[in-house]
Amino acid sequence: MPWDLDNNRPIYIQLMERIRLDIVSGVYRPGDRLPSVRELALQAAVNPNTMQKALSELERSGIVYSKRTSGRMITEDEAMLRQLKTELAQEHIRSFLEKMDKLGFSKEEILALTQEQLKEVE
Amino acid sequence: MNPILECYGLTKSYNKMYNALDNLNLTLDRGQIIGLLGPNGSGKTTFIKLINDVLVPTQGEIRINGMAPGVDTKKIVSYLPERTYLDESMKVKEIITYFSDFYENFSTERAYRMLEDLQIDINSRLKVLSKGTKEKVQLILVMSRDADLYVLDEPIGGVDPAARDYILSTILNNYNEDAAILISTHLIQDIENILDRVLFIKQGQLVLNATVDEIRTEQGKSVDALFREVFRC
Amino acid sequence: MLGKLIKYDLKSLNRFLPVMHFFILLSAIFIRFFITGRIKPQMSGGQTDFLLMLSFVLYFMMITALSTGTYLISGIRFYRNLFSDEGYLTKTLPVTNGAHLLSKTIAGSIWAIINILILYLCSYIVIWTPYIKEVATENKDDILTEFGFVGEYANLSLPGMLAVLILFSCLGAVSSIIMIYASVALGQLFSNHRVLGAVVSYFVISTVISVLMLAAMMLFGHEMRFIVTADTVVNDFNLIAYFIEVVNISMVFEIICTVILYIMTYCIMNKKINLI
Repeated sequence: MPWDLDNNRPIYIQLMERIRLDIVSGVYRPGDRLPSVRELALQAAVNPNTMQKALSELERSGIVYSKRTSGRMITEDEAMLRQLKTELAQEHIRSFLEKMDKLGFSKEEILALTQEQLKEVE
Repeated sequence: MNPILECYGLTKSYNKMYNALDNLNLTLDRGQIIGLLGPNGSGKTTFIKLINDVLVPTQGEIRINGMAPGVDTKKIVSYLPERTYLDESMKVKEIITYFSDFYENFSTERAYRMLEDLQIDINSRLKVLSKGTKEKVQLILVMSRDADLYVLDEPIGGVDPAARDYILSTILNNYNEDAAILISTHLIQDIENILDRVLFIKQGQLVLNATVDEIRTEQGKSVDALFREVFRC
Repeated sequence: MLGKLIKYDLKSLNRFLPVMHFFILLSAIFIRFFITGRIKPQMSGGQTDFLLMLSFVLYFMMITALSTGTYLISGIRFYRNLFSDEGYLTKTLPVTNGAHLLSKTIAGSIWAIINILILYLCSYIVIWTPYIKEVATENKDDILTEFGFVGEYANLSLPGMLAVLILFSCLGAVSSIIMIYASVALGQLFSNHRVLGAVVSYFVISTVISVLMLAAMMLFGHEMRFIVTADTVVNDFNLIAYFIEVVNISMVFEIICTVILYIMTYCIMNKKINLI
């Protein structure tokens, strides 16, 4: 199944986001080996060079690293992973808050609504 | 390694009135998948035919791996024309033998594997196959070669979406650093994600030569959207 | 590569031509058994004449159709494989234009020669009935004299002459094949009417060659003598002498024309071909 990518933003950025999400959500575990560029490109149905670029960027951020013989590994640095997770969460919350603001809710109302919703989920 | 394709002042006119291809200058490096995009009659197919020596240039020259089109370039260029070019009276397996007889870089094994994947009977004659199936057979033949330059003229136009996915993954599978793949198509959205670079051709002239992510970063839109803008009627 | 090309060209021709030739052989045997073989001395003149006429007309029609068919099929193969959609594959094989032309010429010539040989074989089957053989053997000397095996030609053998005739026909067959290819190639220069161009080219080439041939004959004085001879001075005319002279001149002439056409076809294929 090709990855769902949108049309307007650079492809490599979207690939980075997707891999990051897969790491945080546990599809790949810390210390796991990442599939090869070719495999990932095939999975995503994207150009291998673009996938290569996305992985290089991820490598630069430290979340994956190269091992000379066995390809790219996910970092085992728990703190870094936790921070990444928090960052992603913050991003989602930020965009959620923006949307609620557009709908005309005040901060207090948003908090109340959220708490109510959380209770229902339980 | 030298560029896989170079064109200098490449011009082709079918009559004296206008040039189907007009002073094209271009260099393409290996290791890329390149989309050749343009509206009908913009000169895409003319360009592709010139690369493959089925047309003779009116002016200018073309170099493939540093060589003018000829026997040596035909060994390393794998060409899928926009039409059916197979002898319809032959069986699929006979055509496989034909290709392996003439092309040293043809992998019979790979061809049979792909035919099996797409459930095409190797004992059927070409003339009993549907148009779409014939196109699949041709694409399999072309992609079963280990070429330096693949030139695919409308490879996904006539096939169903499922086969389209298979074809795109075949193209990706075949990708290697030493080869370049040049794809001409109208179905930009379908292939945009697998391209490195796009070339826009308008009235025989090159109007854009950029990578997909360059376009998205600089213009904030997809190649498809940019195409619609550049070639608005 | 040339070997492989020839293999596939022959394979393509072999789809039609063997069946056609098998059929004509069968027909020859049929005619022999049911018509010519039944001609007996005791038959009345009218009956014999009718049977002979019928068999020869039938037979002539068939061999004409077969020869035309053989050349046409070779020509179509040449056109289809190199200049139609199939040309997109053929022209992108790693093979030179020269090899393509040579391969097609060899494959076409092989079948054109087979065609000629089978036609001679058929003629033999149809004509050489025991009755005719008997008559011929009885009047051997008269026939030889009639053909002109006298004087300086007395030592020539009839089988030898037949061999020359067959060889000459084979050369003609090869040259016809090349002439058809040249027409197809010339037709490609008429960008919008390529098939029509080929047909027109064929008639133009054959007319030009006939006229030149006639001119050459005139030049050497043979054509004139033939005309005069046919009318009046029968005794002076020696068929075999005439045959030898004609064969000599036209063989040389045909070889020259064929070589020129072959080179022209090669040049067109090498320089001027734009597939549509």
